[in-house]
Amino acid sequence: MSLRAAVDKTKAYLCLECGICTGSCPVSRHRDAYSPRLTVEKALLFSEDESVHDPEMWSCLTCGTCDLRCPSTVDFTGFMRSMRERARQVGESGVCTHADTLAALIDLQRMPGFRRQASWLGRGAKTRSRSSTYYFGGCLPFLDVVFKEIGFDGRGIGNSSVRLLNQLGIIPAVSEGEVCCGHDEYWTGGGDLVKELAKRNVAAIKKTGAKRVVFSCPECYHMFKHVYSEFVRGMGLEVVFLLDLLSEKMGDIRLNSRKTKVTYHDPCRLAKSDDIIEEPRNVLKSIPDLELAEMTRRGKDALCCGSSNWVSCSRVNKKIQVERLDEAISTGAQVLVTACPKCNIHLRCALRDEDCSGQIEITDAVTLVAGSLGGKKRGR
Amino acid sequence: MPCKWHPLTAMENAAKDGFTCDAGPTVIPVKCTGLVKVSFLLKLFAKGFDGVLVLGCEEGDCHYYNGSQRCGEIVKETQEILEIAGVPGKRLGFHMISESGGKEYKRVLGNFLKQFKKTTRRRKRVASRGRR
Repeated sequence: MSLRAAVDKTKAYLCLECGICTGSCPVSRHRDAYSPRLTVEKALLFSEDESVHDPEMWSCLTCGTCDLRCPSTVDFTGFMRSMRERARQVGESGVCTHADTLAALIDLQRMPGFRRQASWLGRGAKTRSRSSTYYFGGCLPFLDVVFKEIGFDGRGIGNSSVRLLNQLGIIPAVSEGEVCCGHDEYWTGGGDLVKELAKRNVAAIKKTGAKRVVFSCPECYHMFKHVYSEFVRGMGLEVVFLLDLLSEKMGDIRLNSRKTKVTYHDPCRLAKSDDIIEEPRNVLKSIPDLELAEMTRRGKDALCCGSSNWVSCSRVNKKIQVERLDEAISTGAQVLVTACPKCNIHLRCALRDEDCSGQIEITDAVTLVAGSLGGKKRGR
Repeated sequence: MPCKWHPLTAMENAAKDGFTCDAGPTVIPVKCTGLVKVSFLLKLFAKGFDGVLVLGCEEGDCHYYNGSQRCGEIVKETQEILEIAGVPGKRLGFHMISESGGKEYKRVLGNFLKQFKKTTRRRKRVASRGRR
């Protein structure tokens, strides 16, 4: 897609230069060189060549705060994605974090003979090869290995999710053919590869006879809900976020009391793009004796976890993460709960930063709820 | 994937003694095995290599202080990832070899190649796709 077409598609021509986007952007607050308004203006006024070679394009977190606040309803994140797509065509790319490991994982999952081992879910998680409900774990087992050193427990999240589904009387299917959802590749401007991953995933899920797919990762959920229909015609799968499903059926599950003060961090994809804000909170509130303290910026106004798509993790990103952690710590909560494995990883990493004002335990909502299940062993 | 310092010298010495390998492995010398990243190893498997043997210098011999120890950790992490992806972890080997370890090299390579004799199935090479 040319830049001109991207401007037309995302209605960037409606930009009034009001600057609300730049005022709202978590990156612009710490990095003067980056401004969403300037990026749009450059694309509108100057040549395409100048815009696609701009390294600042890779600083965008695609968190969607600007989209929500823009009075002219410009789809800025969509515009950024199209620009990155164009930039990739001319050989530009962002700086990959973690020595490109996360991108190499996609290559590994596309390797002929790739068979995801179902054993990653661990003990106590009942799964079947055929079922009407499918549990999509995404990259969790791989992230578990890569981020073990900062205490991230991806297997625990998968295990807890399946155990909670079992509690609701659902034995989900899992497949050996499941691959990465392609979220990061999509938002860094990938096209054909995402299409291939989408097709493989939908085929693998359909093979299990599933009609409904349950997710514990907001990014995978986002991809299936909004993006896959672009690549796979007539997908015919119902997509449900696990906490959304749980919030309706929390009455059916008996939970042990847990005297803790927690605060909830809204993942961008979940709150800003899919409007799932109260459901995770309802799930947390259903744990007896649990106190939920709110941060000042919550729901659609929540601050992004500071890093996304495994590109450009710099001093600026660290500052955003520390800002969010400080906000969480100031609520007086002992535990910071989030619903996104990636927010979990990024905030955990920033917790080791010396600028951080204190320490707080970080956990995933499903792990916390599964930890309170009656008579079951507590997850990490 | 040998380190250019001691293991590569050991390999050259073995070659001078007339050692040849029927399997015809591709040799990728690296400046130090501490430079090897998880992504390098995963991409090699993704490109269709059946196995990867990393050869580092012995502890204390590393020219960059602790490169081979770091590589040991990287290899362990990669093995775990490979296991989840259904590839036996032992297909990725790591050994430390000294400069005069020509014989050691022959033994290590022989042992490493043994596992592939049983499974002669070769994965098709995946053409490189030029990502990122």
